[in-house]
Amino acid sequence: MKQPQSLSICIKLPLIELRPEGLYCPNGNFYVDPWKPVERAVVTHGHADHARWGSKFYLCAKPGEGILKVRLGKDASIQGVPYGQAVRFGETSVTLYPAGHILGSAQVKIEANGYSWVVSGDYKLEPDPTCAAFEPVRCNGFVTEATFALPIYRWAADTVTFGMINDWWRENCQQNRASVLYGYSLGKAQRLLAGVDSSIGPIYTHGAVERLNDVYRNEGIALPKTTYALAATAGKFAGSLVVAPPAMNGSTWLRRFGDFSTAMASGWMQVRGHRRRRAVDRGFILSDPADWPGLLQAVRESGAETVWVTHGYIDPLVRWLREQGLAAEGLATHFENDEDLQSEPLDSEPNAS
Amino acid sequence: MKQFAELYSAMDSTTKINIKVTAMEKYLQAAPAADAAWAVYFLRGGKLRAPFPSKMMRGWAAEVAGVPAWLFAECYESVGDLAETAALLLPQPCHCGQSSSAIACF
Repeated sequence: MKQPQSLSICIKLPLIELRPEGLYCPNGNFYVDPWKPVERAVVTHGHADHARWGSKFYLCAKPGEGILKVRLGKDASIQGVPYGQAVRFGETSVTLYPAGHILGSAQVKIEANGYSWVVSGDYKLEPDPTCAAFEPVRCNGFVTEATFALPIYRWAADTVTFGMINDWWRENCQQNRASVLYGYSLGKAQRLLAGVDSSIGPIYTHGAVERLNDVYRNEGIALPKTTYALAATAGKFAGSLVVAPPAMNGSTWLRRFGDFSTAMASGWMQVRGHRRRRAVDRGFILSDPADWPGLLQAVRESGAETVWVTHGYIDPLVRWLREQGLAAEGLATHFENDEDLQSEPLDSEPNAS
Repeated sequence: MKQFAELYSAMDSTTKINIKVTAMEKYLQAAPAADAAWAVYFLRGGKLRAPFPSKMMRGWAAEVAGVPAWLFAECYESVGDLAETAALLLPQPCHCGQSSSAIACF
């Protein structure tokens, strides 16, 4: 886990540069996913380390507008643009393309004078019924994340993973236990809900998850019927699936569910030690960032000759890409590389009334 | 060996001691005496003397996985366990019950 280094040095390349506030485009006078309040922010997706509070104006992909409103507050000035539609910023043209990470996630393509950069934010290449599929975008320079940039991270087809999740749920049903499944409340939780076999039993959710389910349903994403767990009668949870944020593990919130088994859905579950540290019964490998082959494929398909690598296993990916003949550089950003340890707003648990 | 592998999975897929104990009881009642003795030995943390240095094991695993030595080392550092690192880098084992090509189905 690499810590961001000092940001006092400005790295400059055509179209984008790294400033203390974040990735900046001087030609268009805007930032991409700034971590400090700025005038104009283009946001790749709604996760807390990318969509930060306090900027004057936000631009995002249209399907992500609802998520940003929930995350940044109703008063924030947010404009959504459809994927593929160019917007003028100064002397640059900015176009958003699907990143396949969560609903409304986008790669930001910046073009000026026949030269282009793509800031890909977080992305995955695997199909996901809750968001538009990743689209390869040709460019001169590509900014990629490196959360799972080691060859130990290779994802199985999600039908295999959901088969395992369903088997676990069915087995718990037979034992009259509830199945408590942890996943980040924005994106992962909805992907889980859309992927499980909802004929096995009723599904309950934590308030933070339910709130975002509403946003997803408003965007036309099909999710099975879910019930807010605090609104349900205690003692009726045997055989049900409970979807909750990872922070709920070991908390008193779980008491109402009686006998239950716990599981965590995350790319980190690939490594046994990570699951053991989480103290969950089962770990299901389901990731919203790309695996090692996915990262390499995205870089290849971008056709970029220059690659900047941010958050995660930066050094191995940079070295690998350099050995393939690309100009690769590590970039110290404030993006986090653990989707599950990220702080997420859990104060949204409404009252039981 | 398969029974032991099943026991290990059962014990590894719960954090509850009671369920682990039940799985062990079930295994010990069903397994042949010699297997059961070995199972107890390994579950207590017993290890066999390594027949070759782990450095050789690292080299072989990297070679079969098609990963350069420096990248294998990065993975090992992240995972923290040599056997697990090798298992994650090698082609996935088949669950068909037959031993197919070489080390992949070990």
